[in-house]
Amino acid sequence: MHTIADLKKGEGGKIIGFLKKERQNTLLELGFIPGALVNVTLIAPLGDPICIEIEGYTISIRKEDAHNILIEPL
Amino acid sequence: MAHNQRVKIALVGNPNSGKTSLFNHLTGLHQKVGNFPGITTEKKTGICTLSDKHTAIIIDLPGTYSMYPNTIDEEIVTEILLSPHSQDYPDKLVVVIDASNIKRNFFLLSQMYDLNFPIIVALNMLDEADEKGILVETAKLESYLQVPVVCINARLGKGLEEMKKKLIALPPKKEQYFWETRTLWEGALERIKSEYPNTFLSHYHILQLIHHPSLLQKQSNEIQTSLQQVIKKYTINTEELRETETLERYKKIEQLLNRVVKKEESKSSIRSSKSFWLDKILTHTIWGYLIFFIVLFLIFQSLFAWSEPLMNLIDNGFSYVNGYLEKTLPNSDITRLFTEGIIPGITGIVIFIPQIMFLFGFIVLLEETGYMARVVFLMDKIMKQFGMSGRSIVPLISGVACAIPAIMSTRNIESTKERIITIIVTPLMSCSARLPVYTVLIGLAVPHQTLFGFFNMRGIVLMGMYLLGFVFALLSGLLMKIVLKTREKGVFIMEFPHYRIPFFKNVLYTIFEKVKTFILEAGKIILAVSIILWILASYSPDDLGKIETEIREKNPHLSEEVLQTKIAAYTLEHSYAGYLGKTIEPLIKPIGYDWKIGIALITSFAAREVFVGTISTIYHVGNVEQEYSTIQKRLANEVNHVSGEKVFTRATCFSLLVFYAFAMQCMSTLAIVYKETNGWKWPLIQLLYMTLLAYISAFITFQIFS
Repeated sequence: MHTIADLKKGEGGKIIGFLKKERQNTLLELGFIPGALVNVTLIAPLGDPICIEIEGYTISIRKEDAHNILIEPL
Repeated sequence: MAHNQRVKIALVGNPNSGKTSLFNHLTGLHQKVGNFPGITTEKKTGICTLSDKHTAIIIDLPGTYSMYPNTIDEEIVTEILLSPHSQDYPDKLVVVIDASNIKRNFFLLSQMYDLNFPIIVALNMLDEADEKGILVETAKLESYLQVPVVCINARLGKGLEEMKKKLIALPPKKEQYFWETRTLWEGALERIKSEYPNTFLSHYHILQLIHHPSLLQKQSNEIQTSLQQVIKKYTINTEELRETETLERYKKIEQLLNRVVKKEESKSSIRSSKSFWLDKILTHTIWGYLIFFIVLFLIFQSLFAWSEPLMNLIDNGFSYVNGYLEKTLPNSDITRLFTEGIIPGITGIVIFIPQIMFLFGFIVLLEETGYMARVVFLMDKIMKQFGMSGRSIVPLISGVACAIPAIMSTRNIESTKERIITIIVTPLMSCSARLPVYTVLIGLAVPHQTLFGFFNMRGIVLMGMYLLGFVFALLSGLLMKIVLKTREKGVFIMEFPHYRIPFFKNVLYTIFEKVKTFILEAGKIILAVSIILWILASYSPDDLGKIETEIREKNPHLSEEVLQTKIAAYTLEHSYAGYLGKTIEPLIKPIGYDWKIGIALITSFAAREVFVGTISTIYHVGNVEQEYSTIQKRLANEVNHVSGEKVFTRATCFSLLVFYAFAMQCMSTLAIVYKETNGWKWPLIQLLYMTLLAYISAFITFQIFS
């Protein structure tokens, strides 16, 4: 089971779902929709936060939320 | 829905979409900044001239990603847009869109659109969109949405004339929706809307009430019952409903964007952009932190170097005015109220202005260039350990200059808990007002020696004091993180805004706004307390005239100058402040202080630097400004009349140092914390915590060294 938190810098994946349903809605609204392509562009020096490219723009989220987003690695 | 003469227009949009720049251009200096009731979020309203005949009130609502709030700021937007009886309920909306992030920005637009306000779509950041190869066909978009679409450059203020014209002529919105809810639940929403025609602009408004029970409760009982029946009948699960809504909206948005947006594939990769390379350096494990510390260093050097001459100028200017008034006005109580109470009080306010100006100038520059977001990215994990956010690093470091502007700058911290913790611990950073106190005390307690030949002992102790403040700020953050329970549901989200050259006008607007706020709000309190302290220190239950005569009679051989200082010292000792000092003496004896130091503690509650002036007065040093060696000589020789021992022993000095490091000896800070947290709860908690910390630390220090 892969999540965004498992991706290394430069790696990408396709979103397939969420681990914890309670925390999913905000991420959905930001565009983290099943089927969307993501790519990790930068990781902060201590591993947290993670900067993600999605649907043509970038956004950073904390690792705990990245752990919640299931992906299919590309 | 407007009840006042002027039309109310709200600006909505994602954070970083350029709303604030737009607001600044539309309202100029006619802005008012306040707080939304009950919360710390800032409310900005202003007046805008749309044309010769039309003016409007513009409300800059906090940036938000969705009607489903992730932070307290975002809750405000939802609440206002769903409360027709609120004084901030707008007549018209302008939705600012960052065209370079168009898909996500359209999510909020789709929700705003469905609320059915008369609405204008303002496409901003088209240059950045172009760089990414995104081209919006505005005519097509306008024809589809059936609402005006204008192209603006909010930063430079372009396209605003057209926007203003369209705002004046804006008709009610047609019934067209991104997410069709009229047929949901067998038309239940449509039914309710037609039953209460003047209450709801749209079905989406009604549906939103299902998601926000606290707002539903403000509706009439009939409406509440109707909705509750619908919820029950169709067993509505709000989380699932929200998920459905989101997926539906994005489907529609995707279809729309495919029709009206052209993408040039060659430009679209993030990695090919110049800004990506800049990001890599600025967030690099080694270079990132190094560059940040260099930037901080430069800021502080400039801050101290530039502020000091200005502060001296202000100080001297007011002294001059004061001196002039003393000479020309009759020697009465009223005169002295001015020259010893009010004018010094005003000086105490105005003297912070240079620091506030420069500090905010730098912060705004860092934010406008986009660099700040990269710093937050670097510092977030570290600061989180101590209950704070990556954004807290700026207020903390700024606190070394002065806590007042530092605390004002915490408004951009998203999490309430992290912001409150930052506000509470920032004053523990050793601010510049502590420097005079440290200098005198270190001079008394630490010998003028070197360690290993070139490390100056006094310099080391001074650095130690700064380190002490920093360490305890972090530890206090940790403590509060464990102890405080605030409702936290937010997902931490951060965007890297585009790098850009800051627009000078925005920087100036922000500085002007901060200075104005500071003077008006904190200023009132500082002035009041200055006057009170003056009264306490100048008036006495004893007959001062008689005492003065006695002193003169007993000391006919002393010069006038020495007599004056003796009288001044005696007056202070027998003033109300003096009696207070004697009253608290039993409390402060365990930490090494006598009642004379007690008076200084009381008077320096106004501001820490006052400690030096008060001590000088009490110890007959005369009109001393910066002559520390004189003070030190006298204080070093000061002996307790009762015990015969020295007053300023090393133990007492160290105890005082530690006390001043931690104690809340700054009413200006309390005033600003009151303003920023919209109440007395937090300033009082802060005062209590810092006082306890100071007392206990001073006690331990005194016991160790004596």
